[in-house]
Amino acid sequence: MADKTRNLIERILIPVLLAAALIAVSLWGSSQAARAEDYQRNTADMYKRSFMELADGFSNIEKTLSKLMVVNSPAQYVLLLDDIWRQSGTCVGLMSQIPSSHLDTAELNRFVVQLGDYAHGLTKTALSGKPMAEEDTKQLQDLYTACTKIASDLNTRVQNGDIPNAIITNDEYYTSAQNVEDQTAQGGENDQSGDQVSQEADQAGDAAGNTGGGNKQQDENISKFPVLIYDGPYSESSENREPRGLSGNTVSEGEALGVAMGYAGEGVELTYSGPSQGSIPTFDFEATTPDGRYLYISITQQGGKLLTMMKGAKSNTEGIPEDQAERDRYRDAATKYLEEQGYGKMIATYAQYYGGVALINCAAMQNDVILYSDLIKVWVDREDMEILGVDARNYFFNHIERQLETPAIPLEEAQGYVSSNLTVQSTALALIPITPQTERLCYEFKGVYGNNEYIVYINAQTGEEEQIFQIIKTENGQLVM
Amino acid sequence: MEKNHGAFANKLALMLVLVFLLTYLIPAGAAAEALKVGSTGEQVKTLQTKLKRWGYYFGTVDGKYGAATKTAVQNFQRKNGLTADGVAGASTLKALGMSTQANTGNNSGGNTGGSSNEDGNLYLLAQLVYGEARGEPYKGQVAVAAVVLNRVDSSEFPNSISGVVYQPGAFDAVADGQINLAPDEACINAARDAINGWDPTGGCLYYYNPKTATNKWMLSKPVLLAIGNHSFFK
Repeated sequence: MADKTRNLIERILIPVLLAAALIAVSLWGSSQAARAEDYQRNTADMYKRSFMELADGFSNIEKTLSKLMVVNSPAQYVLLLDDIWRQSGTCVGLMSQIPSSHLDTAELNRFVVQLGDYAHGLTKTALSGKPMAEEDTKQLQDLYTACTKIASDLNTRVQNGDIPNAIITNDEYYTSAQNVEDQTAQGGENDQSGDQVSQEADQAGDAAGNTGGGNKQQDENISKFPVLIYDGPYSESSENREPRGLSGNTVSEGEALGVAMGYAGEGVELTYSGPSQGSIPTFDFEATTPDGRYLYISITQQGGKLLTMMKGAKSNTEGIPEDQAERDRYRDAATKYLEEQGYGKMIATYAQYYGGVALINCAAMQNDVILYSDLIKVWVDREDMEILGVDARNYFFNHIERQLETPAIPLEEAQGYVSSNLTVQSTALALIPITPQTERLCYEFKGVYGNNEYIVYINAQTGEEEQIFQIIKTENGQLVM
Repeated sequence: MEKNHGAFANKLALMLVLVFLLTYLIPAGAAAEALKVGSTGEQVKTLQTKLKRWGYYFGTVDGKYGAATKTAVQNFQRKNGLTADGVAGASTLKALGMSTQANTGNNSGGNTGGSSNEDGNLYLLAQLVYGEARGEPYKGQVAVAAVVLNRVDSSEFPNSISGVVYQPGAFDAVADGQINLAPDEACINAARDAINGWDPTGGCLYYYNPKTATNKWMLSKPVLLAIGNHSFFK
């Protein structure tokens, strides 16, 4: 009996169990494989879709640019430029979804971002009634030529099925990138036109007093696309901007340490963490305070000024303080500190409260005009008003003595140009950045409509509405009125 | 010999039965108001929808918490550093972004006017910092967040935080899924300090770890500064 059972188990049950297990595993395996294939197909389709839409996008830009060659009425001109801005935005979004290495797409990305930025700038000029400059007509012609080439390249790739459908990392990319660069360096018909334009860009840069130089410009000389000359947030001139608010001699590391020690306070031993050759070169120091908080200090190499200081907060209190007097105390601590540091009178414009700190944004003043570009951020500890942090990057980039005009229209007239929907709560005169290289004197009207706060800027010379900001409401930030 | 064989087969059969019982029949210890095997209703539907959307659940969205849902919840828990007990308790629901009752009450008194994705972007940035630089000094964490923000402002990169973070092939933490880990408080603060303007890198767009990097293009670029294990450049 026992033998029979054993026999049954050995001869039948085990093989059956094993066979069942094998079948189960095979089924599971094939369903996994099917699922993986499914996912892969889905992602590949998405990559393909982005690529084909991108090809369409460039074809559209090409068509719009070609219409610009023959447009004559200002209204059509504005509409077409606006179209280019929109289409370039679409292309930038699609570019980020293509699984090519950044090194492969960076240049094209820059080209299409600048194209949109440039078109948007031209729209504003056109709307203000100014005629198109001759350089702009020529640039648009160059852009049209370049876009025709790009669109046809992309569409050929679509037709040949040459569409990237898997992620290429920068690591894997290097060898092929090298080949492309070699080819580009040898130069073709297209490169010559590129060279010409970028040489003009160099000259324009020199004329504007930009020293420039270095690797970045060499790269541009072998650029596949025309380099655009214009003034906008993404233009070469603003991306390679030099600080203009710093003066004085280059200090040594030792001198910088002396300056930093003044900010660190007593009993804190700073260690040198190295130089930083970023957009504003600094000597960096760090320390741990006796009560265990981090402290980082960066001193500018030119002039030995405090660029940034950051120290851990003593608490982690969140949210805007209910009490107006408490908010005023933080604001006053920040402005008083800056005055003591020799920055003169600065005005607090916006405050954020998070992680145990009050972060006060302060703008420089010149003859009662707010210079919005010349910003210093000050972090104040909510427990004891200690100054924890300073960030003067914007200030050092922008601060110089301005040539201020006197407003051509009085405040009352300017207020007449503000929407009657806005309940104005405070007014001021301010110099606001319109593009990275132009600023305009405006009347500033802070007010509310419905649940939202707005700032409206009216040009103090012409009465035009220059800019409207909506203040995004968060749980921890508010305007300082 | 034969005897041993039989005993082995018996044990095998018993084990299979036990595994089956453990997996499917014994319900795990439950916390109050948690979703678990046997739960039904709208909450379970929401749970299944979310798990399905994120690729953890492959069954139908039927509002019944069964074995498949449990496995999906376990996988989700494992991926997110939670105890993989297959019970969707408070912490799991929070990680899933499903508000528990107490939470809903708190939120209703929050801000009313306008909407912004500020918190979503902040959290994503903090997740990237955690995935890329959780062992770095605080300044190094802020620096990684600052690189993302510098990319957003650069013409060579996508113009949104999510566009830069998820750009194909751009960050290892996205490729290997570490981006989905819950960030710690330091990383959230680092992301916040970077958004509020602190840029320890002075405008850098790239960084790499010189001890592990093999990319010749990166290694050929002049390093502008070093913080912790990372070298930064433009």
